[in-house]
Amino acid sequence: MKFLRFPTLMFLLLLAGMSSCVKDKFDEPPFDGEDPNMEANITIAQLKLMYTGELMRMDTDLIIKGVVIADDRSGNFYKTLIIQDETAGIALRLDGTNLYNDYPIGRRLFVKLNGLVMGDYNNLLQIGGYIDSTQSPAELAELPINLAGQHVFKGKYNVQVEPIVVTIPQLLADVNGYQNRLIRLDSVEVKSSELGLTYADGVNKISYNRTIKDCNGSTIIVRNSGYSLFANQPLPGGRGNMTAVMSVYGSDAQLLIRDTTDMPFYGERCGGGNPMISIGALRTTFTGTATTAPDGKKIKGIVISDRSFTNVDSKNMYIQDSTGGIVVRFTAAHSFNVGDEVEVDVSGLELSEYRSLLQVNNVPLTNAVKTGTGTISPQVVTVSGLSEARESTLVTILGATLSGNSGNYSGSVTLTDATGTTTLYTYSSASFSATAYPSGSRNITCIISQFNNRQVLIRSPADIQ
Amino acid sequence: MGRKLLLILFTTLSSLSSFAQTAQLKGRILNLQEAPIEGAIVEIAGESLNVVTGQDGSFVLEGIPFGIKSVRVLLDKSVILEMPITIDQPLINLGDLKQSAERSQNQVENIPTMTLSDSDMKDGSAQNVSGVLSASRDPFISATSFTFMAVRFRLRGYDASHFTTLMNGAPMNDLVTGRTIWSLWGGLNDVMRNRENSLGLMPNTDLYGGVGGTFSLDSRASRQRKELRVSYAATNRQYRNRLMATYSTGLMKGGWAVSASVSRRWAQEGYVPGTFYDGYSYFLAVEKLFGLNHTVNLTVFGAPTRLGRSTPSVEQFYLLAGPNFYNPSWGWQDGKKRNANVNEFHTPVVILSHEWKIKDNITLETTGSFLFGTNNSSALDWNNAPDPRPDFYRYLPTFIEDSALRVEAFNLYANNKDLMQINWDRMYQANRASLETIQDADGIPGNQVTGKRARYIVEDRVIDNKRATFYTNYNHSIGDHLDVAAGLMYVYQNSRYFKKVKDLLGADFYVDVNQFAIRDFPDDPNTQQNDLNRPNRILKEGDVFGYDYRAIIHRPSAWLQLNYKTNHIDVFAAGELTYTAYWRDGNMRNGFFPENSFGKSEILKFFIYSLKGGVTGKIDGRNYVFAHGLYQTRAPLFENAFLSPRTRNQVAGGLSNEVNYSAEAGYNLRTPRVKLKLAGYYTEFRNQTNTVNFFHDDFRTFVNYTLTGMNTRHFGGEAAVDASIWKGIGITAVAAVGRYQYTSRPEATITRDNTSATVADKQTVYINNFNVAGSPQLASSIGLSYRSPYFWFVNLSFNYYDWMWTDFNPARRTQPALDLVDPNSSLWQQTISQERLKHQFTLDFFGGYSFKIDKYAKGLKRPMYLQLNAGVNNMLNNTNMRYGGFEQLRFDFFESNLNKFPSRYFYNFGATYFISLVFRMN
Repeated sequence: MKFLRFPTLMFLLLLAGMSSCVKDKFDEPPFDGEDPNMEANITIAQLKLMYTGELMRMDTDLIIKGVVIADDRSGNFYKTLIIQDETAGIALRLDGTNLYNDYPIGRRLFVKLNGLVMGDYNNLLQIGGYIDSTQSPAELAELPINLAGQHVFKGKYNVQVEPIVVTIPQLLADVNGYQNRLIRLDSVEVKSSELGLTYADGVNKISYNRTIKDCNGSTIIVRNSGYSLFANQPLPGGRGNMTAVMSVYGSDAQLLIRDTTDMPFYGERCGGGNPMISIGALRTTFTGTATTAPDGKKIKGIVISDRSFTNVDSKNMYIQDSTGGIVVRFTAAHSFNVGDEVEVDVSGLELSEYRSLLQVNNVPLTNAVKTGTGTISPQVVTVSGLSEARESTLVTILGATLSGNSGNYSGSVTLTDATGTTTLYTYSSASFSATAYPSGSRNITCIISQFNNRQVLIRSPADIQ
Repeated sequence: MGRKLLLILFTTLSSLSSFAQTAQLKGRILNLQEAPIEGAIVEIAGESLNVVTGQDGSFVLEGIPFGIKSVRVLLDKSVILEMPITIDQPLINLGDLKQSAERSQNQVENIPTMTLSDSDMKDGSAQNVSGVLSASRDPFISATSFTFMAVRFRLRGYDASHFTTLMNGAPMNDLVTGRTIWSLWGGLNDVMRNRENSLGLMPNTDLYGGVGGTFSLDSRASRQRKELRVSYAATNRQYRNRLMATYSTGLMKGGWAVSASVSRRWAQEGYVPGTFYDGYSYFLAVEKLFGLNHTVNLTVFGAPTRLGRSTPSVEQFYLLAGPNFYNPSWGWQDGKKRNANVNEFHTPVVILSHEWKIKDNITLETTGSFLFGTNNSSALDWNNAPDPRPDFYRYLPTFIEDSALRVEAFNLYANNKDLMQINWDRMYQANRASLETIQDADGIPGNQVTGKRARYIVEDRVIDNKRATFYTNYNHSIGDHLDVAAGLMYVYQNSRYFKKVKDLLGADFYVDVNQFAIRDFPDDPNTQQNDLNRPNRILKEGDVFGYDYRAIIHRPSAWLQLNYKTNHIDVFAAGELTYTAYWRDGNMRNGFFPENSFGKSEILKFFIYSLKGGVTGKIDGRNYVFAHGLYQTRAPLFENAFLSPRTRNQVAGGLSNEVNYSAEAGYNLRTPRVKLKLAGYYTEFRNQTNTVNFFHDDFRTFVNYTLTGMNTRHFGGEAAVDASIWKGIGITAVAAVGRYQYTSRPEATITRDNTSATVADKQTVYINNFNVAGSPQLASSIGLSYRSPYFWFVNLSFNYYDWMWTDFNPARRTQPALDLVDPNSSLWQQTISQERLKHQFTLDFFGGYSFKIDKYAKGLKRPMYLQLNAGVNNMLNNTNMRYGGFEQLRFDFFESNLNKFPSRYFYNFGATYFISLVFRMN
């Protein structure tokens, strides 16, 4: 079969020729996410200052830099990104959807402003693409998405932006300053009359204003879009810290959340739930400056101060439980006696220091009620052990000597033990202020107090043995 | 002169033969219509013996040495019949020999065929029917199938489902779409040459046939000419290189015949930027003759092919992209052009056929076939992310309302053309930045899966086809006058349609949910599930998602034809009965249609019939006149019967059979120098159903338009003349002129894939007198050819096309679309009128040279040839040649802004070349 040989050879040759292949293997592109080679030459705060209140087309080579603090992922923002730098924030309007794929929260953006338009939408400052003169009055229109790449340059991902912690009254006091910035409100909740409602109406696509209140009763609007993914979810029923973008609509300040995780209201509502908080725990909520005491909380302790000898302000009461003691300063003179067991509602009250002495301030008398009696055994300490943690508790200092102050109680008497000295202070109003203090080594039972410096108070001369 | 040439070309060197005993052979050669062929050459392979048939087709050939020989009949250089014969007695009368097939050495067949995908051309056109049909001697079919292919000419404007195709007696039409998928045997040109094309309503002996006609291919091994053929072609069309090799043994001792063919077509980049071509083809046929009366053939073939395709786009991007061909489906990745629109298919076909010559006048051909394989079309899919297609309407400069920014956008694209391409890198970035936790993943409560959830993927839309056919075809000539033909057929098809994840583009997983439902139906979380049976499914590459259903179709049929023939008149009558039953079987429980998506739909049953008949008058051996008529009912196609098969079992309301009428008449002249064909036809397709689906990005779901009660009328004339003028100079002129129009106002049922409510029921669509799109209604060609006595030829043709309309959007022709428009405004006219495309012409050149090696190289034992062919199409390089287009199915009902969703257009290639070199050894 000689003649078969040649064809076979030809076939093999041909098959060999067929090995030339069409390539279609593609390397994956490298991970992007480096800042572009450009720098901002103006801050957002400076840009805001340039705004005259009229739509303005920018025609100079200005560049701002900011981090995205809100995108359109949940649908609560539409065709909008909010960016902020260290100085201020501003809204970017792009005519596209699902912007968060390219411009997610945390991504740093550089915006070349030349050719863009700045304007405000009911006082909310925005940057857009052009002036839509077909509207009357003319409106700011979004930047067409196919031109976005000419103005908005993408940088690093996951840049952390810490929200500014503020109170509702602070926000309301400076709406313009806080607008388009990420803020945090601590210990707030949804107004009780709105509990059980949804964020918005996702079925009919209707947006709603809901009300956020703090335990002091201050309120602010949170606006939720009917197009948001969470529109039909129920509002959270508890209390917690809220993160949001401060916004404005006309004269209304309003908050916008990025998603429901911005409202983790899982704690107890103001004034509700388990009322008791230990005095020690209450003290720990103090942040160093005037702090609002937790909502819905009461403390319960034994009165260790003795108003009958008047060596204590008539509005003040030192109470102590097993975890610590604190000064309760009423708005008027109280009538609680030493050894009384008292319950005090401290919800939302101010926790602050007076001359470094921590107190629950401005407590209405109706907030306190006597529930029984009890005793506190003073803890034995040395002068060196008079710490902040033991402030407003009853202690006994062994083997102490009093000296100075002409031998009388009134005013500051020096108290010395083996470890050091402190001040034993007696108000001039005290019934025993004009009497002489005993001399020699004594065991002194006293309340640890403070007036700028550490000092101790005795309730009566009987405290010195 | 011409004949003499032929003899030189095709008469092989005589072998040394014994003069001891010779025989005389007699017979008569008939064409497919059983009319005598005058001027055919009858030769004995391997002998220098030949004779030309007379006016009655008869021949006498003397001096044939005894032995097993092969008789070959040539007409116009084409082998039209080849058969083995044992010469063992001095006088042999073969009787009537019918032309077996359009076996041809016609030059045009060496031109690579265009391969269009079915999805490119979904509503309309005949796919690449034409390319493969090129090898016809009928100048009309030749022109319409090859020359006019540039403008996707469809015979008589008919949908491709009106043409039926047989291979070795096995029906090849897809039952879901009704169409023939010619790419199944792409690249196998060498072994698919034997074919009979029957246009219109002519009587056929092997198949009843439809309104359009039948194509019958014969790839049996014994029908392949004994030769080795190796060819290489270089071109700049869909592919750039083609290698083919074919070896056929012819009929060997012992009755065996084997034919094998392989080919490869490839292009790193085709004519259109971003396209590529990577195709292999294989073919094997083995045939065994058992005695004189039985032959069994097994043919197996397939064409695993991968194509990077182009996608039609809008005018403004074509203009911006420049004179070459804009293709929105690619983008740069890794420094290379990556195409998102990749079509990958491999559907092997196995055909086992048996031909039994029961008596001299009775044959029974029985064929079983099995086809199986997949067709994957890739596309981008995305979830909660911006549309990544660069020519999405929101990215068009004209979408920008501000004129200054619009100009800025135009300039931007003009200066940075890559912006008009897919941005792969951006999709990778979006996927990598997308860290998410899926709750209740895979439907397991509390199961959390955290990772990079894909925003963008490449998906494959898969059609997994299985088709089994059985067909038996009986032919009986009773006496001298009556021919009886009959057939029994059963076709079963089971096609699965689904999507799968092809490439996660750097992400960890995708989730099988409907993103739009999450936002649009927040109070019904079930709706977001594509498959409630497997909710929140985490998808990796290769996983099935989105939709998954089967189309199951059974179609038995039977037909009978009686053809009564006399010397001057033939009369035939034929009828066919068909039963079609099909249903949908859903593999997913769609969240929107939980009760109506999983499992079987109702079984749709249609009983249809067809009758046809006709007369042929044979005035003499050269002049024929004919008149044929047909009436048929026709079942709606599966693809049109369900409102939205992707999502549910719901059937279009008012579904009923089509009713079609067709008539044709004509005149044929066949003389040695002039062939002339004139025909006219009139056809009405009544009560058609058509379903179209498109994604509506305001409704954020698919919208389905099912049109019922749609009638079209096709009438026109066809003329072809092929004449030898003088000394090798010939002229060919062809014209097809018709009017294909809608003649009713169909009613639209509009539904959406996200609600079981019907959006609109029985909305009238005002399209009466609109034109059927997808094919020029006027196509004409005139060609001059010259054949040199020195074995070369050239051919130049001028082609002219007109009366082309774009496909229209039915929504625009409804009352709601025009509610807000002033009837006297130009907008009104623009909205409802149908766009007519500019007339076009092309100039094509083709030439070839044949070289007989063994004439110059001594010592070769076998005849060898080299053949060089070269052609240039569209020589004037007209790159602005639209051959079709379609209005986007979305319509701006609010502002009636026609430019918001501009039409998309198909463009013909500019000047392209083709060169092939063929080595042939007999």
